[in-house]
Amino acid sequence: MILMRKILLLTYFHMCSRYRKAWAGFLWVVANPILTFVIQSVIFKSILKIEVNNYPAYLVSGLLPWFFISQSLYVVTNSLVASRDILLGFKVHPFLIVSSQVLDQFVSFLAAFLLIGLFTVRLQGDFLFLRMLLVLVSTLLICSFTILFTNLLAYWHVFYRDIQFIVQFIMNLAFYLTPIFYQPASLGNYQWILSFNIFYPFIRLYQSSLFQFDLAVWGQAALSCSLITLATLFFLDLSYRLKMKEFYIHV
Amino acid sequence: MSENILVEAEKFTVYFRPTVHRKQTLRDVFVSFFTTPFKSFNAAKDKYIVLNNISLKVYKGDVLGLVGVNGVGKTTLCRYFSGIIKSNEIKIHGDVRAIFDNSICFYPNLTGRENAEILAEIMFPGTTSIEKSQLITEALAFSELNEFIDAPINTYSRGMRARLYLSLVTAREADVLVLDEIFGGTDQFFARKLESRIKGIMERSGAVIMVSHDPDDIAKYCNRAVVLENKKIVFDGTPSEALKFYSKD
Repeated sequence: MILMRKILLLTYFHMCSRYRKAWAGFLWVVANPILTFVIQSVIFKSILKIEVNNYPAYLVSGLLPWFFISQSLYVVTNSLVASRDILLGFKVHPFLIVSSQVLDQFVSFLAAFLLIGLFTVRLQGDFLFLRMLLVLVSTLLICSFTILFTNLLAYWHVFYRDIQFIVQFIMNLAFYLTPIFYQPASLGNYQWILSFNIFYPFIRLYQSSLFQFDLAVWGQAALSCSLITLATLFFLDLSYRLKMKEFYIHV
Repeated sequence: MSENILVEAEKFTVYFRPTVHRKQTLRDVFVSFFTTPFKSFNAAKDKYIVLNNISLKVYKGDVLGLVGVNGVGKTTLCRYFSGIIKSNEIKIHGDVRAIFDNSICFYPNLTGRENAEILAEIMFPGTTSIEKSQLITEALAFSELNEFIDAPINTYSRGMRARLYLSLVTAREADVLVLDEIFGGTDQFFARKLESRIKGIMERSGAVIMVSHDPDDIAKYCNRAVVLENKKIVFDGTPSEALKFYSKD
């Protein structure tokens, strides 16, 4: 409970610091995914002529969760190295610093999601309540995974200082290898690649609940996401147990 | 006697692998794996010992001074004693408050008041919101930063940051208080004011562990001192004897 209170307090002050207590600052952060969405929507639909019905809805259901995961990894991986003095000066667990910064990204994701996600998708038809419930569970899953995965990378970044750049490189590649702006069928015989893509199930959660409702696909994706999240938790806990003493020497 | 022990180190050793300085990136690991696979495998077994076989008990009422040259491991030992780094060989009975760097702030572009709120949450976790609010109000008044308290902390000088930080951290006693080289960065007037405040908090705290390179500080505040040398405790006794031992070396 005390840990949760500390995380929320740090998230609040991190947001105050980032947005400088002004709505303009908050809008500036939210504008980033919105602009990306608008530009990609125009390029992929109008210029590259990608054939998907209701393409903006398809794009937004994949792009927003992707944006949350990738931005969290880009921005927060270096957070423990940058917080060296705090970690060595106070009894502050590294998990607290990383998690509060990921939650800040999560608030931006939620805001962008409410602003353009629901507006673009315009949830209609049957099972509206069930779909909203699935979106909620999807959001909890993606938030848990991103917090744990970012913690894992930020922790190891203290030992190997090029992880931040490797993450950027891999995320750039992964963007093109994840069916966000194209459909999985476009991969043809190479669809097996998706079974090795740990980010795809999280994107699939939103695509199968927001864009094209399919409970079976959602259930399968949710199971994969839960297993990936549990595996990340296991590796994070193992890393803390094995390397915590060395962590403070390296940091 | 055992119930009076607040901090207990039993055959405590700190070491790190020399690879810390050799391989700092995954690229280094990759390159050394292919260029010198056997050498890098053997090097992983090497240990660089920082503190060796330290056994020490800190009792209620102790104001313990740690004396030793730079790099001997005083601050590292204090980080373990304060619970920042955990170890099975060190047992801490009670709550610990530590001061390592008197100019740390969490968010440089937030105000002094906001940073004080964060510090209070981190340093006084067991207190209620009302108590925290009272602590902050008292500490901010003590710091005498006046209207600057609502200015962003990145506009503060080092001395102003030290005022804010030290005022807050010394606002309440603890079972164990760890003070690592804290008498620096502030002006003479504030240093004197702080001195009497710290003396008061030392009297109310269960035990104090203090690091200082100034022999006068050790002689003035401490009732016990240990000398660290070559990764070990080489002397444990009264401050005057410890300082004599240290200066002879």
